[in-house]
Amino acid sequence: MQELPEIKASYDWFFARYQAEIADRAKRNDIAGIDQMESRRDILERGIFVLMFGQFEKAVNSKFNDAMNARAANPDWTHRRGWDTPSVRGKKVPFDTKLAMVLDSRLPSFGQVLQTYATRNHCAHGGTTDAVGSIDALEANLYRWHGELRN
Amino acid sequence: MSDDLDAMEEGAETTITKELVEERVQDWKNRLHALFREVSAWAQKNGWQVDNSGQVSMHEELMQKLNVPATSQPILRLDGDRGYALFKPKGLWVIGANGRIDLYTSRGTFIIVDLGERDAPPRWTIFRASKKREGDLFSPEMIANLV
Repeated sequence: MQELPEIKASYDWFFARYQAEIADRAKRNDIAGIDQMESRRDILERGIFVLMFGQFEKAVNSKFNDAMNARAANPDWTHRRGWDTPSVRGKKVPFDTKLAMVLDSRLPSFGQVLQTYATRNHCAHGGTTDAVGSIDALEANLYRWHGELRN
Repeated sequence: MSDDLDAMEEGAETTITKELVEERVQDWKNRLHALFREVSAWAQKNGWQVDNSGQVSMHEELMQKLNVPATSQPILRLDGDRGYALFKPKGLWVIGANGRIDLYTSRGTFIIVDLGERDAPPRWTIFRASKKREGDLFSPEMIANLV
């Protein structure tokens, strides 16, 4: 997740400016004015959400490829078993399959990642106007999930 | 991997009905009222001026899709010698949480989200109040340091 700090730093830069600009409206209790700014923030945060989750997707791909290359080359069939089938090779392996190979599907994180992935797809294709709960919470989750991946 | 409504409503197995959406809206408003009552009680004890007359409209995407009429969410405003705090609900269906409130104060903008499981007591967590990546559990006394 090499670029995650850079993406988050860009968001923090935006947020500092947002905070400075919205302060005057909040002080005046100008709810309509705050709403106007919030709708722009929502769009930006959805974009940041997709970019940040993309970093986690890259990490899953990389972990999956490492695992596959190491195991498929193992002469011992007990380690190679399943990893040398054509269905897990190539670029068309679905994300949830890759995830299941590098993250225990019995962990609560597994379902959380898939739910976030569904929302990410939904967002990326313009399917929702929902706001992001918290970019900071997402960052914490991404690092936690990343720590649970295994090759 | 998931249809529109499933992606918007956590738990793909749930069939989303108008009644379910209405229940969730009511639950959200109950959680807001309970939190604001708690914050107001602390604020009044500590000499703040409390204004809970404000409202903000709620008519989220899922409500519109299932013809649930728009409703209003309470706003809480505190004013004191050192500054102000404005609790403005953002919405229930937000990505990664069970509702979000934006907190605007004389010191900055903070995000309070309910990270509790659905049907469990709320776990109001505030972000950007400290450097902790995972946020801090919110309690009304925190306001004193956020204005």
